[in-house]
Amino acid sequence: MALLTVKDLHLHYRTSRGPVRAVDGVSFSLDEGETLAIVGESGCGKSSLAYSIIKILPRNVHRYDGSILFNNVGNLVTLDEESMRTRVRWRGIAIVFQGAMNALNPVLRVGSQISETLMLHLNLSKEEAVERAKRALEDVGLPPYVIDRYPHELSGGMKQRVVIGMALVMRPKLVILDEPTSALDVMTQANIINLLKRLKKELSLSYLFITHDLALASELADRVAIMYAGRIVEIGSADDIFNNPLHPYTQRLLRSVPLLRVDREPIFIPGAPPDLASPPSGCRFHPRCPFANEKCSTEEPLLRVFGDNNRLVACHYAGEVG
Amino acid sequence: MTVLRVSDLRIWYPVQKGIFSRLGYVKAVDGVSFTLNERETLALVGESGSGKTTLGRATLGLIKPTAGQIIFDGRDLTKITDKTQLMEFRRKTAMIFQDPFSSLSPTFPVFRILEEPLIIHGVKSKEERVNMVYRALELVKLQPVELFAAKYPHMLSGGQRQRVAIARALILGPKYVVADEPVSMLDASVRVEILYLLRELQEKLGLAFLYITHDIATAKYFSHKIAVMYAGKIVEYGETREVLRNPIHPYTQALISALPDPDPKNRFRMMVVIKGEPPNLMNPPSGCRFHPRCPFANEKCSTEEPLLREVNEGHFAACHYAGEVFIKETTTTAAS
Repeated sequence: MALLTVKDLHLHYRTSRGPVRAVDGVSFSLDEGETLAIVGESGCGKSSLAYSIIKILPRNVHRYDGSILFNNVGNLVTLDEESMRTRVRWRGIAIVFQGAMNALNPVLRVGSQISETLMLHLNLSKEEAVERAKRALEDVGLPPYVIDRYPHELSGGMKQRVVIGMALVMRPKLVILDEPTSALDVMTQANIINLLKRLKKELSLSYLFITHDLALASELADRVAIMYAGRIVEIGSADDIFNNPLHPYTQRLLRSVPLLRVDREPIFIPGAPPDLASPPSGCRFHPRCPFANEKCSTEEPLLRVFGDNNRLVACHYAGEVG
Repeated sequence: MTVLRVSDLRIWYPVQKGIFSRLGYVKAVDGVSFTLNERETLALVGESGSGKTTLGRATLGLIKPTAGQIIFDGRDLTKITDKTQLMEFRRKTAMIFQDPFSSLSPTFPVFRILEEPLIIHGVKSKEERVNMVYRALELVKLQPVELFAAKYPHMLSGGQRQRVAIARALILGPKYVVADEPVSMLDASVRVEILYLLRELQEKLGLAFLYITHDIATAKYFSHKIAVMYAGKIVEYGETREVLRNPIHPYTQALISALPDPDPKNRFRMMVVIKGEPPNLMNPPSGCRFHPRCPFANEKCSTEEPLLREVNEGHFAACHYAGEVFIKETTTTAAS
């Protein structure tokens, strides 16, 4: 059953260069217990997509519409701020921010930061909240003494665990992970990924995993959506996307990953992603696509179904090129 | 031809402990030796705090070592006191920094950024400076050169900025360049593009690179030799492909197993991760510095320090049980 259904979502920012179309007609759905990775280069709109779902928007929003149906709450796009706060954020959808190690308040002990949430959202007494906070730390594999520590006394990996513990303390159904390991060393990163795998299973969580790293995406994703210039260009099962990518952008993005276990010289995609204030006509990838022709520069390709595994690709020549 | 020879280098930072304080030391680099040849890239890999950046900076004379030798072009850098000799050394060496957003002055146009080292090193004629700047921009393929010379850093993408940083590093014709995480702030595709550019420039100009990185996957394709650092020491060293295909030190094995390749089967298994965190370098563990985290450690490891020794031809490791112990890469099925 779909836990989250996003349809034709737009989030444009007002800037001096005109509206920037960070999220420009994005649709997908996410089932209960499923992990969808949203993968793309910086500036493709993947973080904006995360923020538009949990509705943490900057002040320069130019356009915000479409529909986000979440778990019988209704359309989040039109939901009032008070209901977002009391019914959706933290209780239904939690978010682990990029560089979350810096998301902790440096002058508060870890325990008070976690219990504050519980006291505010669940009206728990201080004692009950502290008890729950201890269990939250246990969930993420931290020793109980961490509760009395200040953030600066913890390592990067421990801080990241605290932040994940906080996100899960209200037992949300959906957790948005926005580059949750980007500032960490490889070993710590592997530890956090293992933790996220374990928690997903134990708490039957759904993840929306925002990342630029295809290898990391494959560690968690059941399905993968590839974003380019504000749009999803290909979405499908992890098997389909990694083993048989159909969009020329997905194919090249995968080939740009240097592999450790296989010898294959990586390639790069010439050119740069477009300015989202004035994206190219037709297919937004056409100026960088080796297969592009007249049609690609004038006619916009829509997401089309391929195979019987719920795979969609937005390319006029998908399945014929690459 | 050998460009750089580092032997038994130690960089110890003195630390006050308390107010009246006996002195302690943070042993950031502790007995490191290697050589680097013309047209060769040595990748220096390790986690943050392993001493790789300190080592890189020391080879450029930016940090004064506590002990050891740094022989560049046949001359011991640690003994240079004469200013002219030092200037000459600086002209032959350069550095590329990690963050192209903060390593370029935002108030200078590209032309001025590239002209700066020429002014410092006494290129008097304006005409010659203009020519050199344009040639450097051509080298890093920022064309048309006049157009890019007039731009300010904020008008450039991350990849273009890093090209400017490379042009600045190469403008005086160095022989040896330290590239400290030169691509870690860039997107995957741009990353590969910049690394190919560095490789091309190396072949064209005969450069020797010290490529400092935490990313062994890029090191695999863009370096000839690799040195794995742990807690201020080199624990494994050799030809890159050989070391990564056949890692001998348990730490190297652990680093590799923590770095996945894209594979949809990954989600069904846990990554193998060793316990613990890198040690505090003020008080490193006795014996092998890796022993508290090593799954194979025994009595000997905690008392006797293993030396870097040749285990296979040209392949060195500092482990008492090198070649006998292996960390298995994948584990138990999990999740999903």
